Amino acid sequence: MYKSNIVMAWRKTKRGNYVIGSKCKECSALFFPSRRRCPKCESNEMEDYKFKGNGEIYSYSTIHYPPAGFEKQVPYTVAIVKLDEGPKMVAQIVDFEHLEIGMKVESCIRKVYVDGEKGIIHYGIKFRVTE
Amino acid sequence: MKANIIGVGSTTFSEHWHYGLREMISYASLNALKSANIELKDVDSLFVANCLGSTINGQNNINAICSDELAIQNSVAIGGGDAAGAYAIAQAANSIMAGQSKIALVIGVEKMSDMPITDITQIASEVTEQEYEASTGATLASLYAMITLKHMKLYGTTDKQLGSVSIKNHSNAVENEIAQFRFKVMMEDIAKSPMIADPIRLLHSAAPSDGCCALIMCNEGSAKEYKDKIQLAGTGIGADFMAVHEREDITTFNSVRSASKSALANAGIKVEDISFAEVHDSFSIGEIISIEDISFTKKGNGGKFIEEGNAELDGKIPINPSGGLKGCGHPFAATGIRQAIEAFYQLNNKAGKRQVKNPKYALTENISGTGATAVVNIYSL
Repeated sequence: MYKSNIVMAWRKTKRGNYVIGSKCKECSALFFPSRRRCPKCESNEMEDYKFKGNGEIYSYSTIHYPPAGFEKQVPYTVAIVKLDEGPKMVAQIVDFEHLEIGMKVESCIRKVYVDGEKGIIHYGIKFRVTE
Repeated sequence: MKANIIGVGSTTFSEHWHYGLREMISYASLNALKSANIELKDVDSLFVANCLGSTINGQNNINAICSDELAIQNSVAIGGGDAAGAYAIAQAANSIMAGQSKIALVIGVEKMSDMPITDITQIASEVTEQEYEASTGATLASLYAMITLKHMKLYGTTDKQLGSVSIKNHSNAVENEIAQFRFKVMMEDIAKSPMIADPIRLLHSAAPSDGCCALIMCNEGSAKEYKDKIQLAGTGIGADFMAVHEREDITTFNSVRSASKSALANAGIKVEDISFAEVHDSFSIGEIISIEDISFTKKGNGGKFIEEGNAELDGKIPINPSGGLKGCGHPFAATGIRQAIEAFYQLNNKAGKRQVKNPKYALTENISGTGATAVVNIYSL
């Protein structure tokens, strides 16, 4: 698992708290995460694109055997969320009683994990069910 | 001209508490030399595949370890996630066909039992995308679980069909001396096994393992002197988006589609010519999707195909006669070499009780992570 240190956390902060990907200036295709080149039309002209952060559950799984660092959260649920604008992303799903493919979700900022007692607290995007 | 395999050797796949990387490398390599009846001094180049050594064993520079242990000057380490084994075979073949290597030793080694399971779960997930997949807490198993759930939803694949993959592969592994899990499992055992990442249970998953496999490879001309040999008839390498979520349809491995298509074209044969296949069943759904994307059956029919017995040893197209990753265990970089060893035994009619009837062409499919890359090798006599 990618355990970001302070430098990495700083690098991601600008984007970390928003769902920011990129848009191809040539063919308007959208991507998450950002790309430097468009795999659809081969263009190198890309710009940042901020997604609204709404979408639906495309697929999901509840994890019972966690990686190191996530032991205290078990069981927790991760999903592939299909954003309203088209691209998909992986995130944890919170605040739900029952989950199904197709359910509407919206993004929120939550604690992802704490880096030991003296480490930094890592925040990131999770999704909550809105229906 | 084609590259040939003239000797094979392997440790058992197991928890080798008493042995380190060096012992395992020597054991498999010396057995491969013995099987080809050649001396270490005849080997002029060494290719070693290893995936997680720098994290689990703290040992990078693995080819230097091999050079030291076996006194071979010309060595190189090959990466490529848990497909590293098959990549090493392809690279050794390139070197042989270019005339750079006359006799090559190809090794795949992984030692995974030295750490507790939460650490291994984290480290094994290194073969997935880190910044946007694994950082959320998603594991390799959970990504495969999401692929499984989607396949169930789209094609009606059932829990029972997933189970039939494990049942078949465990049953085949009983007769395989290399395999770690040489016992049969029943549907009830699978249903009762611990949930790893819903809907994937322990008995739908290939376990991390310790293992080292080795091959001796040479060119077609030199291979004539050796009794037992197989030819690498064709190779194909394919790639897809690294992160599962970026793929248009997560139930299709585009890497496998393109790798198998190019391997078949490279060998000059059709998929109907394949007698049996060793595929990458790191999770049950992996075998189901693999046989669909290699085109042994149509998309969505993989679960049904296996449940109906078509992939059994005496079925239409035997899949994983060795026991696969499920039955053998999955020491990451050793797996691709182990698949070649199975092809060697089967094509030379030396697979004992798990022998496939009169095989002509063997197909091996080794993928990395959740299908980000795939290497398909086709072997013949």
